[in-house]
Amino acid sequence: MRPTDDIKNLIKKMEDKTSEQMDKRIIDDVLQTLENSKTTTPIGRFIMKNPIIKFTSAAVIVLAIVGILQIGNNSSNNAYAQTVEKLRNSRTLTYTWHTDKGDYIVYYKEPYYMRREQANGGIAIEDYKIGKRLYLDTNIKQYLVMDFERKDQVKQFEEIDMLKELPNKAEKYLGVEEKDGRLLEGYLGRDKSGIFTFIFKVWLDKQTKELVSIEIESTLNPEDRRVMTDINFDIELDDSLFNTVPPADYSPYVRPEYTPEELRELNTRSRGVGGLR
Amino acid sequence: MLQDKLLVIKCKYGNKDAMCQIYGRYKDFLLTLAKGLVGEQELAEDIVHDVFVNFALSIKKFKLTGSLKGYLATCVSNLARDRIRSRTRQAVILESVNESNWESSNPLQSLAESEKINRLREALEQIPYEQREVILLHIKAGMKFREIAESQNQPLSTIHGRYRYGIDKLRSLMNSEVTK
Repeated sequence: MRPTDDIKNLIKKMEDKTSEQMDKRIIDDVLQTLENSKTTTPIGRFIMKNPIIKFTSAAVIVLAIVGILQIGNNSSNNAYAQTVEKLRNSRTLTYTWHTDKGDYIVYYKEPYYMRREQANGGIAIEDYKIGKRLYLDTNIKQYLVMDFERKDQVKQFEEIDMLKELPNKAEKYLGVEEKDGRLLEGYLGRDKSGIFTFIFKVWLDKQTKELVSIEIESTLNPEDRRVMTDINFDIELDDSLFNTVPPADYSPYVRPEYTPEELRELNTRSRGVGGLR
Repeated sequence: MLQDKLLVIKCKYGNKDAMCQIYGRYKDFLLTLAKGLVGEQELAEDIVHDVFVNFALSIKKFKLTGSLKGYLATCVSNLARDRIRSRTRQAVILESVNESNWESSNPLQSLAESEKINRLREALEQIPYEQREVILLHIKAGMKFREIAESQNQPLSTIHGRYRYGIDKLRSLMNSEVTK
């Protein structure tokens, strides 16, 4: 008999993810509903009626303006701008993604290639020029190849697009913090181009101005906070890293229980590996 | 949770970011729950949609007394029950690997794990709705039997019984799948 605990664990592991289309449909409708039922007493009017809150608000506004001016005058903000520029112009990128579901190393080469290596031996290689995705299990030397439509490209490289679209000027200077024995200067930026807002915290080495890490979180799911470290720009990446032909010493992964229709469904569902949205 | 309470208060003032945060925090959980209850992707999505739209509609009068997760889970289960009653059950849609499987562990090993979960989904489809509902609300949503009993206006002993019989049937169904 299968123990009850096993069933409980399986139920806990059951996980469905909403699609981007579903998110958009629901959020559009929910926000519209919220808009329609919005209070007719704006909070601003309430603030301005209360003299104490009015004074405090004015002080906060003055401090905010001073803060913005400080950012504008801060010479280290140039370092942030230069980093953003480097990211934007980079032809190749490598970095380590730290997510709540594990860490993996990403290799990106403009404009079609992506490779992700998981710490546990899983590798995913994507070639958007030919529309092919290769999964490798280096532990048991097995592979799985999938074809996909190249229109997926925009979604697939979203994390790269977001990096390349970081604003030229930081919204806020986060000050200096010590991390792993290094003094880092932080800058906060936002991307509001999609349905949800993404918040970026860019950390540069105080001395060398070298990019150390980027923290990303979204208003959609604040707990899904991801951190990029070990970021390298424009290093030489050999094409063999992005080869979607299975290695000769690997055998195909056999899943006889899936029909061709189910495989197509599997292919569609697996296209968003590592995406944020 | 205190953070949920703060988000609800912000929503009452029409704060869209707060509403997005609530959606983002519970969307996958609610979809999983809805799909576990009704077995169909499209219907499950509609249920989650309606739960959130109704939540936004009633936000001004809404008062959070327990957990927001439990409240939303109850809304999903109530709506799922209504929808199930109002339409003929359709065939189970075989779920395949989703992106989280690829991310969370070794890709190929994930397929085996995913296959087990598919079997569980099929088994869930075969047990009576009332039992499935209690099992999912208790195990997946983390609701106490007492809370489920109150939300469904049923005696505690009935809820206990549904859970016990449901688990027994699931175990038996899963066992027969394995020995096939």
